[in-house]
Amino acid sequence: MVDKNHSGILKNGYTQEEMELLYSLGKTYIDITSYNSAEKIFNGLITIDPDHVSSWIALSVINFIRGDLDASYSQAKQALRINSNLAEAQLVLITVLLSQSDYTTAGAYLGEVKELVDSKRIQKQDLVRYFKAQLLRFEYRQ
Amino acid sequence: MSDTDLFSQKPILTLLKERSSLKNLEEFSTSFYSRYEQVKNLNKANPSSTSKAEEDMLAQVIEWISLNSQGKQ
Repeated sequence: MVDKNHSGILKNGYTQEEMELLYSLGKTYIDITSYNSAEKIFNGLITIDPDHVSSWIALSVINFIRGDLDASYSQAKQALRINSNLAEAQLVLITVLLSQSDYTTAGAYLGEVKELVDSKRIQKQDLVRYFKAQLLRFEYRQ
Repeated sequence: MSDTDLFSQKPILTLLKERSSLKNLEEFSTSFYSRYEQVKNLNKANPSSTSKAEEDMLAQVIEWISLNSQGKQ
């Protein structure tokens, strides 16, 4: 996953290495389930760089875990606005849509990700497994 | 935690970009501290500033660095 606008020089006074470290700290806070602390890091990152797609996805995931589906949805949409082909962003949106019982929209996005999986443009096995899990949620919907 | 464990415990976390090591974070502590002071003063002077999120983020970074340096002592 590559964040746009990270030329390696400076983003609002922050170097790419600093941005990477900040992201890694936010991810570490998620790993230890300190979601409020993680949220502060990612909200800061998107203030510095509104196109920091990894932070939008992280915020969407945090809010999904908390059960705030509206916030999670709008953050996933922000990530997709930045990079509409990013499988991780599509998958987090699909996850939220299925939880909101919006099966029509989820189905459309699942079709897009399926094309990426079938054409082997998604290499990461965990992403393929995650896609298959969401496909099952879609197929076995009540 | 291995990738397999992560997937079985919280699958949604596999959607997040992997993180790099934080061992270099302390090297940037001076820069983060001075930036925090700068942003805090800016926000004090202009409460409607949009940098509140940046200030909160930097405070969180400083807290992490402080806790880790205490742990090493």
